Amino acid sequence: MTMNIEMENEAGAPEGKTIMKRSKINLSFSQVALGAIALAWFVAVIVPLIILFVFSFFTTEYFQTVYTPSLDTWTGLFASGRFEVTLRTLRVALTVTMIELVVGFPFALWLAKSDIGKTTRAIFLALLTIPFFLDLSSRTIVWRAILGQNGLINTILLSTGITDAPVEWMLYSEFAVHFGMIPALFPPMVLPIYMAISLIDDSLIEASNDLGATPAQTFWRVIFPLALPGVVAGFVFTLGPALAAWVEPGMLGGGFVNLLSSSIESAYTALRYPVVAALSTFVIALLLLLLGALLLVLRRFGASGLTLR
Amino acid sequence: MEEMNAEPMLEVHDVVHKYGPVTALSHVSLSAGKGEFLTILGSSGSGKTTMLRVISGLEIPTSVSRLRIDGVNVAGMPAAKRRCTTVFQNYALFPHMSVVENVAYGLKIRKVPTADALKEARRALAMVQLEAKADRNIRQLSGGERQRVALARAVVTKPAVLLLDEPLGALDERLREDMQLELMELQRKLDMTFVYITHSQEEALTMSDRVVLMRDGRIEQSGEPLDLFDRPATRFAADFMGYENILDGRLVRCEGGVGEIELAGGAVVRGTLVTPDALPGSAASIALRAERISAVASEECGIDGTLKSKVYRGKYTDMVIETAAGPVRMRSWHGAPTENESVNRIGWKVTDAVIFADGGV
Repeated sequence: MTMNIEMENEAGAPEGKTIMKRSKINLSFSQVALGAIALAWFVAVIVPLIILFVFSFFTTEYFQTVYTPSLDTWTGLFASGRFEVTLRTLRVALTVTMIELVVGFPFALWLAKSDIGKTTRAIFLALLTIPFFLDLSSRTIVWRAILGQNGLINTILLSTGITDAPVEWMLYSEFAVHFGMIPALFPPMVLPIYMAISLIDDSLIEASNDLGATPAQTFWRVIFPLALPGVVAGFVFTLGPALAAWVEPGMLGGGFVNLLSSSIESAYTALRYPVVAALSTFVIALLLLLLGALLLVLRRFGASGLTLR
Repeated sequence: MEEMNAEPMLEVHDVVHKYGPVTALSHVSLSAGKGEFLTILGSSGSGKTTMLRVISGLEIPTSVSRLRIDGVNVAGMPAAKRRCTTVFQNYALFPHMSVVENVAYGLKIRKVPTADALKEARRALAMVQLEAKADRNIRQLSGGERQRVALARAVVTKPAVLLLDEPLGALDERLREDMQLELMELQRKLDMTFVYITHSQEEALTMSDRVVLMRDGRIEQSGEPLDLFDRPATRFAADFMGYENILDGRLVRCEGGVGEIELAGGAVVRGTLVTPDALPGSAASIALRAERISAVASEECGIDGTLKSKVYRGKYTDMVIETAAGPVRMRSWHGAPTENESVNRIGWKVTDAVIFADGGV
């Protein structure tokens, strides 16, 4: 609207009018496109979530879903030690995410800003995409042959005489679950941060340096704040899959590491769909909660340490 | 090299810098005194930006025998520790900080208390007439305003030397002229040493106390603006400083700083000799500015020619005179007597023409 008024104020030159007309058409076209995309997204993503949420208010009797609204599923959700499972899931997912961030950020910075050649950079980026080529379960199950009691590492340790008995904590343990998740979730953390850092103009880093900042000061005052969008994206892309992970806990946890995903799976095999729905909703809520907490922390952090305000 | 009243603020001696097989700087030396406005003039690829980066410390030179800022040896010292700051070509303002935060950055880094840093920053912004926009976002500023913020940010820490890397390159013509004057005023007020990089001879002549003309990683000529403007010592310098006519010939006589050169076609003309050690008989050239040439009577010193073309350009008229030594461009200002008369012979004052030996190129 404001645009139209401004255009009409321009003395009504004939050229001005054509521009106005054209911009109006463009505007309406982009509005249509935007609306279509929003609608498609709503149908494909939001509607299933709503249905999922609605399902969590039903119950199951004799393997049949009873379509009568009730809070039974939600009230029964945390019975039978599920609170403990939730805490464990959170702990594992957050530990993995933090490890990814602590390892991934310096790696992304090195990849984006160090003076490695174009070829080296391309090779590393290609290496990062390898995890996407292969199915997760095939990649994960290999570790059983390596970490197991009769696995590669134990064979080496025993034959060289470093240990007398096979090391048992390496497989079917929380260690193994963390270990399996870290390589799988490394690219989702690194790539968004890499993109964000690549977008930082080199001259900003030089200017900071030129104005007297030490490398650490430049990092905390210029690079990190400007890379934050990438960090937030990496956090979401890593924490989400980590909270919902079921391949690694199943294959490398060997039933000893119970996470929310295993609860969902067992509820699913028992055909208790409302429980599946409630648990899934719960996981999504957890993710949103953690993301909200992260954004709050960053805002607080940004208010005191990064800038003067 | 130049007369310097006190200890020079900036001293660079015999710097060599190579990017792989490419030599960007080849044994360059220069110095600047306190409060001096030094301009490094050159086209792209002349090494002028590399020179600036070597001074600021953003580039560590392959070798340098002496590099001092305010008497302190800074060779090998990181950029952060040197008492010089840079105004970058693209301004390099931090997009996640407000205008005043950008300006206060250098102070904050030096652990100045926040309140004092902000006060200083606002004072620096007032100096560039941007106090009212202190709390704006960088994205809300125009190009000229960003330029001023970059300037305020660089001077607020009171460096010994301020380096400016073509800071006016991205501005439109009108704004550029205003900023030139403002920069000069600021420099006088701060009494700070400015090292200014530009490819525009007009900027160099307007603003500087001294100009260093660079070419292919070497210094071609240096001196006061008027020296370069009126006494270019080489063909390249003459061409770069905007001499429209450079005619080749052979030096026939020289005495008392005045040279006589025989051009192709046999005409002998006179000009000021800028290479005093040139020997008669050696190859030499004469450079002439189009607006310093005028029509003369047939008995006066000059060269015969016929008018080939004439283009009226409002304030002046451009003419091309065909002579035995080749076409000569001549410009006559509106209202000047030569404007409407026919031209048979052109001439010039001896002090308006320069003759230099053709040493190599």
